[in-house]
Amino acid sequence: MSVNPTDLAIRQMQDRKPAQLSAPQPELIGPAVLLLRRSGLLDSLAQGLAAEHVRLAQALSQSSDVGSVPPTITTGRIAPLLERSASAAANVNSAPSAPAANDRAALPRAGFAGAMTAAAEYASNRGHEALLSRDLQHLRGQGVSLDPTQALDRAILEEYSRSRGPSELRRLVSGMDADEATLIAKQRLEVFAAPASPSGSVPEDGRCAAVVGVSAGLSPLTAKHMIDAQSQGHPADVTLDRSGAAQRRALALAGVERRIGMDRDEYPPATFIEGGAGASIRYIPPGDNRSAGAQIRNQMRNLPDGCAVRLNVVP
Amino acid sequence: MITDIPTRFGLAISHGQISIFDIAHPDFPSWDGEHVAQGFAWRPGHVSFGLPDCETATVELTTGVFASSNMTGRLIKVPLANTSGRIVIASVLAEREAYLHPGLYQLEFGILDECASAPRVCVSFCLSANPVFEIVRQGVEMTVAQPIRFDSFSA
Repeated sequence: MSVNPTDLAIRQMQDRKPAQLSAPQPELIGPAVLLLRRSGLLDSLAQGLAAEHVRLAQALSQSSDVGSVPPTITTGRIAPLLERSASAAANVNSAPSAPAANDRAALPRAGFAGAMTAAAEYASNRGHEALLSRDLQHLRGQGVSLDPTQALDRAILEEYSRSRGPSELRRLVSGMDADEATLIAKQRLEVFAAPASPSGSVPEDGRCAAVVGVSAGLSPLTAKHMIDAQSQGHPADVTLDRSGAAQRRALALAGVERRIGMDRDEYPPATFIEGGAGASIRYIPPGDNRSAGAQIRNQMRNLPDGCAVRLNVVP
Repeated sequence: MITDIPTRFGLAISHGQISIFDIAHPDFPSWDGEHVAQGFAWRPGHVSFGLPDCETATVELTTGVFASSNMTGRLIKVPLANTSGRIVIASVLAEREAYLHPGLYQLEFGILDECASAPRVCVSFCLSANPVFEIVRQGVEMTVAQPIRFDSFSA
């Protein structure tokens, strides 16, 4: 059986990775994101990251060996952004020094957290640059030219591959254009900047409330449908009601023909009171949509009907 | 023998899948293109089968005997380890729980009519010392003749 070039490249990258690059440091993530937001760099950094991510991913997908990634790949736009954030991040003591519990809760979504950690380290600790340099030196010894921010992108890919699996990484890099990547990168930044509410949390008044996220990494098209529908006025805050789900799904899909090889995705989902007639419908490839359904189901498994749910997109 | 559940029941469907699992392994799996191609996503104790886009399905459960001869749509065999004695047949929208004697089962999943708006799904459990993965017959959206992925992770 032939091995996909990207799988092979990622495997080789994992074999070569320095441990320091892939070890998220939770105490740095919250402050780093706060500082980026305060310094107004959020959007530009996200766009820069996304563009470079796509460029590197495309090169990797066309390469059978990370050693043959074209040296023409540069990250000139993103490096200055990180440098500009360095002065702010150097004053990291002025940011909350202890990570909030919510930051810790976000750590399992390590793809971007790992990158942010690396960014914070790169920006605030020049010692980290030495680590990166060591890594780069190793790669240069094999004829590869990468600068520190490319190593940062590489860390993103590695984290993604490790947490989601090589096949998911392959799907991500093969099905994403620059706009989608930019959107996802922005969302990742915003997710980690916003206080996270663990699924199934119950406020002091005893009323069930939860945040349910659909991963833009696992289900990019379903996530995009959610974002688009919400931007068109469909609610993000919904109420769980399993008992009426079948009827609402039938109402939502009435007159919408089935297409072989596609799923009809509705937003709001039929399992919420707000679903049903008038829902936004979009055709989504089955793998993307099934993964989204699985995520929603897993997060809502222990929630009672009547629970207030906020639907959002997560990394 | 299955108890505490009708052997035939309706199940509201969304997101194109029915999961069958030991209650100790409740998390639905993530899907990728290879899972779609083979018609299922599997890990020990949990299997999720793909369905053509539909709104409801009629599920028929049997034990000790396969219903293969009636099937005209997809027919897939996978192992299922049932350690707890409690199995769940679930969609994203709904679920039914049943008691089934603990053991290692050959699970057979078939669809009577792939193109029906409310397909009839047959699920058979047979105790087996050596259950196999096998695509006996492909269905809509399935593009491989034999299983290629024997892993999935919780979505």
